[in-house]
Amino acid sequence: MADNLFEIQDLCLCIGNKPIFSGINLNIPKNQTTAIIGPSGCGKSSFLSCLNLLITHISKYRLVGKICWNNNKINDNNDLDMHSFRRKVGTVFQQPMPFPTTIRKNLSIPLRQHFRLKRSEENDRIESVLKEVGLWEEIRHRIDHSANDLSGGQKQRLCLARALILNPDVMLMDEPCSALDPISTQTVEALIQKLKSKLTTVIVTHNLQQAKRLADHIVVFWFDVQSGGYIIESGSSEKLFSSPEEDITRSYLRGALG
Amino acid sequence: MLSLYLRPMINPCFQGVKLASVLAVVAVFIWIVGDIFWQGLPKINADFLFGTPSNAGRDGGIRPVILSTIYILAIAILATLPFATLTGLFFSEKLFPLSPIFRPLQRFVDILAGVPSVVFGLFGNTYFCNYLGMGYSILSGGLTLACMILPLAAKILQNAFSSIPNEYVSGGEALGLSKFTIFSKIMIPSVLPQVTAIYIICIGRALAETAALLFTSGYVMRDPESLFDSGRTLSIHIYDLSMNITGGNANAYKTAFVLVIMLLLINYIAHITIRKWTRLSHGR
Ligand SMILES: Nc1ncnc2c1ncn2[C@@H]1O[C@H](COP(=O)(O)OP(=O)(O)OP(=O)(O)O)[C@@H](O)[C@H]1O
Ligand SMILES: [Mg+2]
Repeated sequence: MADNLFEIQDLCLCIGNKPIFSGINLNIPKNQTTAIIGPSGCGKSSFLSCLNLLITHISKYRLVGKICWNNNKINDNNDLDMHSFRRKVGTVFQQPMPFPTTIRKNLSIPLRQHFRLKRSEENDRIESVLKEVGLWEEIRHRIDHSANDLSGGQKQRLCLARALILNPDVMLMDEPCSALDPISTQTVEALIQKLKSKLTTVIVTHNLQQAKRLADHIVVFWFDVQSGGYIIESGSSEKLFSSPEEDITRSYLRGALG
Repeated sequence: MLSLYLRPMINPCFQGVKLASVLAVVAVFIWIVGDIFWQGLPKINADFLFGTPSNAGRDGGIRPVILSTIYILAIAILATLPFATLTGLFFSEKLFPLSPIFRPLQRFVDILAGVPSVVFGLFGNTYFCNYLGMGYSILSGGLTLACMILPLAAKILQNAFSSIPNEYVSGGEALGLSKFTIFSKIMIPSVLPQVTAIYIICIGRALAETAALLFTSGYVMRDPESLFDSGRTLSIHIYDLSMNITGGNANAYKTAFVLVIMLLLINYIAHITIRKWTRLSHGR
């Protein structure tokens, strides 16, 4: 199955004694957009941080099961080169938090970590990625100023840019628009649409309309007190929104869609 | 009922007390600084700043004393910063999880911060001067001061590192940055303002300290030729002139004046430097 980027088998996560989610089986197809929806606290963010292995920084986590990336098991794999793996897995968090330094350094720090480039090449890369996220015209004159002075939407696009500049294979986005106003949301969404053709995207969102607009596949997480989160239903976007199989999904979609 | 009548009084009373205490503090400051300026300023000249002392310090200048002070200060700062940074990073648990075995060590750092300076002097004398064979020297003095400042500096840096949002670290990890890159490119620039505070504490301590230095850097008044020479700082000079040398008071005041000016000057320079660094790394 070469066309799945991630294959997840029987994945369970506990933090301390608390089960966060269990029994997750999921394939994430290449070059398509997968949206994860579900109520708050059902483990969507935790699931994303398993995919980029950031979960390993939490103390007392226990991950059982198998996560395969291009058919290689990545969890509990000591041979995995974490730095180059994370280069290929871009992550965008809910809160846009660029590094507290200049806009240029936000992009050049990750770039220099992974590539050896000449100054001019580096500047070209920075310029082209800023153009890609639609920031170039807005900030070209203050690229050496602090990134903290940007607006929320601009910060989030900068965070997208600093992941994109590394040429990732997949972008994991955890509610990338939830801290943004409608107009910035639109800009970021348009950007995600544009990226769709060339990379795999996994996006967690509470905005079902957004999931509908962006995603090819939908994964619905649900929650039960004993075992934590689990996947109640998944499938293609049209099918899931038009005729969900489970009653819970139907009422969740109806409730949230209004 | 009564409180209802009193309530309109409370605010003016409070304002009055506040004003009075501010005035008291300002008055004390003006008194001390004014006294030093009054007694010291008219007699200061280049000969005093750049000359060598004579007659046990009653006459002549204080060049060797100024030089020794600067050397001791520099050694203390240079020796403190790397250790304080690493200790602070270690206890802040930002980049590396801290094994529970090590947590109690934090208490030691707190306790060390409260140990009186004489004890550090005794330690410095035993360890640096005798055990390591550095003798009464500027190096021993500077290192002893560094030991003294280290706990507080480490604490300040630990708090500074702890206050860095986790998102910066996890954001860096998510981009595949090495721990060293995260540390040097993201965390260090964020704590630069606190480094200013450490500079100022170091300077304050080094300029004010007498007890710890009497045991370690000694009180020789010659121009230091190397870091292994003994040398006295401005404070020790003042102490010696006013306590041990009859007729040394005039020069003690002049030295005190120099000390205050130096304190202000170095504070200012540290401030400017750090602001420049911060601007370079954080953007305008
Ligand atoms: N570091 C942690 N330590 C302990 N428990 C955690 C930790 N991180 C998350 N959890 C728990 O895991 C569960 C799932 O959290 P998670 O953030 O993954 O939910 P979510 O689906 O992303 O919710 P939301 O939609 O509100 O973002 C929650 O019950 C939370 O309390
Ligand atoms: Mg979440």
